[in-house]
Amino acid sequence: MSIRRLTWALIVAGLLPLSGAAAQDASALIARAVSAYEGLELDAAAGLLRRALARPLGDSLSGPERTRALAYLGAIEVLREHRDSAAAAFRQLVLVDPRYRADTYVFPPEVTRLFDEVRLRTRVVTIRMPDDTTVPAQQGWLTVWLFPSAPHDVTVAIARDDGRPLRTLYAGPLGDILIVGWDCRDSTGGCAPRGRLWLPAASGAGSGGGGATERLAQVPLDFDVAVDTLAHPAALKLEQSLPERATRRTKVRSLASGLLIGAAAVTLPQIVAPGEHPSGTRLVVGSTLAVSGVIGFLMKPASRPLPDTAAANRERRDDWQRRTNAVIAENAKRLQRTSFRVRTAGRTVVIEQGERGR
Amino acid sequence: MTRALYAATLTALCAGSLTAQSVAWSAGASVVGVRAQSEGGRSTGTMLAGLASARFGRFEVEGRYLQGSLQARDLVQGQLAVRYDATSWLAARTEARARAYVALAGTERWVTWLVGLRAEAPLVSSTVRGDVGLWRALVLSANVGSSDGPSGRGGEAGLTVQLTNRPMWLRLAYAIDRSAFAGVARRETLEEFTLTVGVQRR
Repeated sequence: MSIRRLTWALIVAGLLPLSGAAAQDASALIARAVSAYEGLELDAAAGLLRRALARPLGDSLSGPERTRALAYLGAIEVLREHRDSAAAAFRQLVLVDPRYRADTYVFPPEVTRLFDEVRLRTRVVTIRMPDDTTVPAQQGWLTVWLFPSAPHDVTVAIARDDGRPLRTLYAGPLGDILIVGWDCRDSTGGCAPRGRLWLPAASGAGSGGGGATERLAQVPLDFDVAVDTLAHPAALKLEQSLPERATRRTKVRSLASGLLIGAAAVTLPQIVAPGEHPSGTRLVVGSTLAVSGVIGFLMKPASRPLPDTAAANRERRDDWQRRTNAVIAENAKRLQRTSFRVRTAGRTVVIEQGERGR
Repeated sequence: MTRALYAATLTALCAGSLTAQSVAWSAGASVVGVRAQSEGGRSTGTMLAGLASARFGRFEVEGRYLQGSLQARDLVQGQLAVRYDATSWLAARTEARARAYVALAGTERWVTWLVGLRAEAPLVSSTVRGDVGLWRALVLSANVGSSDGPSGRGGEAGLTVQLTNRPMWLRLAYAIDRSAFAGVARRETLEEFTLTVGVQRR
């Protein structure tokens, strides 16, 4: 093994258990901080929690661990009379988990009071939806649950990847919980476009509606449509239609065709079986063909309508229309069996007002 | 290899064109004047034939049966053909044809697989249409003692009268074909003068 390979192997071997060890370290720090808090060693507890929440250890924390660490950190700062630091910790806590409520059995009233004040000021929602779901095109819905940090006005929508709105699902007050459904269609009733979409929930500053957006929580979605429709029959070409009026050209064509095909009938034996003595029946067919061509040339004055060719063309058009109608009917049936697939393509992102620049 | 290529091309064309097509049926009965020539001499006869066809868009499948007496021997013939209308005036055709000459000395069986082209044109508006076609045998076999030097080709010319808004049609045609085996200096030339009356249903 070369030196370079050995070096890489050591680096990889060293990195593999790092994330697991970091998670254990962060959890252990939180446990020690809670013990210190209970022993009223507030400075030590605050230090331990800040270490656990800071990078890189903080990145390994699970959602509930982070929530617990922020709750204790806020409580410690209240008890240390660092009100601003406590409010900042609680604000962070609300953004992480808008459904969190301070436990009055664990924390003293001044802590829960400040947390509630911060929660009421920090308006944000958390979005819950299935990770991967199939929605029937007919009477199917994607169900989304929204939980607010505090009662406020929200606007829930579906947006394109470039931020352009596709459909507003709900706009109004949100109290405790809101369940909205999306039928996977845009505001005009058409199917939503395939690809990346977003589900943004804008939290307003006012409580009566119409307030400026304070915060935006949004989830990326991967949207796909499972549909298999038939192609329509190719359009009829003009040159495939027979002339519907006699012209000099059609008259000459009739004459030339009759004479040519008639001559071909007469000369077939020379082409196919030279040396044989052919029968005279070929002359009957050949002359009939030639006479037909002459009749075709003589019997039709120029510009006279040709009802039989018009009828033949009409029949061809009707046949095309029948086939097209059959395809349209079949496609309508298939569209009823169409389904949409919606997958969440990442975690909820919270954007403060003024930060929105995606 | 060439045969496989023909078959694959035909199959692909069929598969692409048979979807969502309405079927048009046709059937007819013919009186056929037949004249056969071979090394042994010349014989004639008048026979009856029946045919039926089904059309799916640009494709048409046709079956035909002919039977009758040619003086010293009888003739029995069955054909199954597939036609593809490439344009409004040009069509390609492939056909399997089995022909038997039944005589006291025994029965000769000739089997042919042929391909050909056919051109068609309206003569009197679209009521009377004329057509001419040529074909060549891809495969020819017969129980004539040797299979060396097979060759076969043929042609047909005719006119069809189809009245507008009427299911009846009428056809007058002349056809000739020659099949031969050079190895045993054996050849058969058959001429057909056909008058057919038929009906069609869309």
